[in-house]
Amino acid sequence: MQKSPSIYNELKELNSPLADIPATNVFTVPEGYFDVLSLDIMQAINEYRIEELNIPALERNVPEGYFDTLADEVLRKIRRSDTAPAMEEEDGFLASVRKINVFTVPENYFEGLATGIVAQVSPKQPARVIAMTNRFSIFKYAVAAGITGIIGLSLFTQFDKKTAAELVAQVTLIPANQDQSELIKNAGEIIRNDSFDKTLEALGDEEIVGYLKNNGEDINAAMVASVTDEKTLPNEDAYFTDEKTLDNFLNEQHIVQISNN
Amino acid sequence: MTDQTDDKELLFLFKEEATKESAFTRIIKKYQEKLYWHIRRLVINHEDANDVLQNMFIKVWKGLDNFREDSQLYTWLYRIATNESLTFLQQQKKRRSVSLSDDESFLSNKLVADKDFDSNKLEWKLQLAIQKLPERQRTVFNLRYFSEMPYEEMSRVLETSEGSLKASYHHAVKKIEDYIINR
Repeated sequence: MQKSPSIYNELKELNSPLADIPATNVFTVPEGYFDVLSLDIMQAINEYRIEELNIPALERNVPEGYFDTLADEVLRKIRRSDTAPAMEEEDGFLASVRKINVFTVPENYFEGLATGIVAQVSPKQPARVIAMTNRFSIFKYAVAAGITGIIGLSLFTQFDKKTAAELVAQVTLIPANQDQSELIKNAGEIIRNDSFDKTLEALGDEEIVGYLKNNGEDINAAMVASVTDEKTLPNEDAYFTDEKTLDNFLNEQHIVQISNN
Repeated sequence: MTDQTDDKELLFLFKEEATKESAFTRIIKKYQEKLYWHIRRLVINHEDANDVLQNMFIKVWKGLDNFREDSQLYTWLYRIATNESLTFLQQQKKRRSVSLSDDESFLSNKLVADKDFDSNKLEWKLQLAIQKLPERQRTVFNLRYFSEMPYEEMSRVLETSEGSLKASYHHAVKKIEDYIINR
């Protein structure tokens, strides 16, 4: 196949060897293909049109005049449903069957039903009751903490008023009639060495109890306050969930009941 | 034999229910060969070309009522044929799970499968070279070299500027030369 002059000249301008290559069509089609092509295409189009026409086919399948009376028919049924159960109107067999409930329930079943359900969903275990004595223990513990604070505060306030010697003498239970110079000397030694805590630690329980008895303090409260750290205290909820919480805690701290008497 | 009736007259007849089918048959007959060969050069295989052509004309039937006569029917038909062919190829590649690396050989393999294929003949070498081109350059080269479509018309079909089409054609020619000379 010869190229048109415009195509040939363009390729020549591009110095392309394609200009001299014939633009041969290498492809072939079945014989008579183009003769029947338009018929094939029109057949395909008609098939498509039939499919398209099938979409409103439902409209053609309804009885003649169906849509003319549809609105009236719907309204008639609505009126019937207002005056009588539709089922009875439409279905003669069901209408002939009386609506009797064939099932029964035990006598007074519904009266006790609500109570029974509530009883089932309520917790089966009785609520925990904490004895007043134990609650008192908790209060005692709280009071002890308060007293400890008061003791600490009073010591702090007295520190300014009393001499270091008097304070140390009081805490270390040195008799008041002891030689004052000796006391001062010992107090000065403690202050210089910053060994106040060590001196307290060296005191025996009996000496501390004796001191507290002489000064009218609650021994139990003082003992609890002296050996516990706030961080080690049980959670407050634990007192309500386990009545032995406080007793267990005191046992863990090796604190035994000490009478003030 | 092609129908030389004016496109405007055919479109007028198509809009009349009585002459609709006959008018459309005449449109098919008028453009079938040109469109077939354009499609065939893009999709290579006759069966594929036939499918694309028939589907394309069904779409034309559906859309012809809304065709705006401010563009030529001929241009509009070529645009649909081009889009349908390229879409068909994309779908075919997807169905056959053609990877990007196999993309180049996809069309070459279709060409080699032709019963008349002869690698010793220059015209078949030219076709092999064309199948190596990117989609756009291949379309432009076919429309220009084989369909001999003027750039002005091609710009309306492909909705691209004439300058861009000339550049595409120039690149395609050089690539084809390289392929033929070096093989």
